[in-house]
Amino acid sequence: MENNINFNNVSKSFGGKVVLDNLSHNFKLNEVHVILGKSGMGKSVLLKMLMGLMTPDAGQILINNKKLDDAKSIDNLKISYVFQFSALLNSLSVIDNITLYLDENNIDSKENRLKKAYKILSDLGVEDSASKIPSDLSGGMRKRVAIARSLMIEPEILLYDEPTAELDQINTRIIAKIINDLKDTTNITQLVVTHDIGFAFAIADTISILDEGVIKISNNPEMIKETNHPLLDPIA
Amino acid sequence: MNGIYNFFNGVGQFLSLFWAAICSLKFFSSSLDKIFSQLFDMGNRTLPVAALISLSIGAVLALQTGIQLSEYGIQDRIGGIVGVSLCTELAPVMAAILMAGRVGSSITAEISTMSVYEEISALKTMDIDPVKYLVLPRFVACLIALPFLVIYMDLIGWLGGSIVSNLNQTISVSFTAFYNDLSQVVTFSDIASGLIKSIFFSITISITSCLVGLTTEGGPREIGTSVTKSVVASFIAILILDYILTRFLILVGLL
Repeated sequence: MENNINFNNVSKSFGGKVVLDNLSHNFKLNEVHVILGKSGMGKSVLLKMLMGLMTPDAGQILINNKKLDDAKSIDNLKISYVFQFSALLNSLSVIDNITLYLDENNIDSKENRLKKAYKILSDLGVEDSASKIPSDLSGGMRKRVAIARSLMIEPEILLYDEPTAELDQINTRIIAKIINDLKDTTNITQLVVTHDIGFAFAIADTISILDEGVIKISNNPEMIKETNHPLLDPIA
Repeated sequence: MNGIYNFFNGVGQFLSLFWAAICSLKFFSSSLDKIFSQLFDMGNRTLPVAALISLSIGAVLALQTGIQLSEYGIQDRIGGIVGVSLCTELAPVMAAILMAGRVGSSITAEISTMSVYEEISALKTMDIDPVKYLVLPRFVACLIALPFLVIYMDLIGWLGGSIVSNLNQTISVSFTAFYNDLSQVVTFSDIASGLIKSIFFSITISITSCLVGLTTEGGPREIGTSVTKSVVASFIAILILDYILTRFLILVGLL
């Protein structure tokens, strides 16, 4: 039971509609996990509960056998979240968005914050946009800036909510490359919720299919392909 | 029953956010740049309109009252009447309504947009307390700006009153006579009572505007609904609070 994120009999309902129904599942740390599922199946809810933005109605979330709150407060576990529509602060420039976490929590000197921010922006290919405001950026660039902002936290776990939503194929490939590069160069555990089956197979170590409030299947991409799950059917 | 529940739920949320804002005052010094930025914004939004409103109110008040007084030959008392009316009631209430309409609506629009587009959630994921980051600067700036706006409106309103009293042929009270009477009638407690009201009004406006913004859910359509809700709630609260505060100030001998 070591080194994992454990959802233990987790349930969540909204207005009487059960979204997660006694869900139990282990996600191994240091891997890229993709959660596939139809709209409204609770994929984003699962991520938001892991981020602490929502609380389960029942059950608990354990990380390395510690309660989520304890893991964050005692072990200083850092979890970061890339929102579906990026959620960059439009009142701030890109560089101020990136350094916001460090600025507001008084971490490091101003010079080092900027140095770190420009390094991450450069790694993600958006350093030229540093002085722009987010509303002036394209969808793909906003998404990369959102990933850069999440990386500033130096997270152990990085959550992506529909990272390719509203992106074209070129930008989808760029995001896939960023996730794969992070997999190769860091130990960050990445949990990705998506509708995009091609994207899922391009990045995943493990794919889980969420349906009717529970994870029905979870395996490596090759094994998932062999299941011929209806969700993986090409459009007729 | 649902309406009663919503009312008490709203009051509870208001008090809870007010307390959170008070507790976040410990971050006052680290939020100074944001507070100044809000103050600058509030000044830009309100000062020109406040001048126009108070000049007009002072002028109309002097015109209507002065003509009546001149029928009894006591128009030289106009300075005191305009002075007291403005600083105890008209300036604080009009300043608060202006602040709720111009500043409160903008606060709600900004914060509700942030709520709808998950920017508030993004702040939480970065361990940034939305109360400290968003509510505190607006709360403190409003608390500073509104009393100053009241004094500003007092002065311009008095000026409007004195100009009309001087220029109107029926009233015909000189500037010196107007301000002499005003200085004899208007006491420190009259001015203080207006400022005390403005402090309560500023708390009401800033907390209501932030609260409605933070609790906005749904899509872009809800932003407009929230702005209307915030302005209407602030207006009603200001008017009710005005009566309660006036009663209280009379009771303690300030009015």
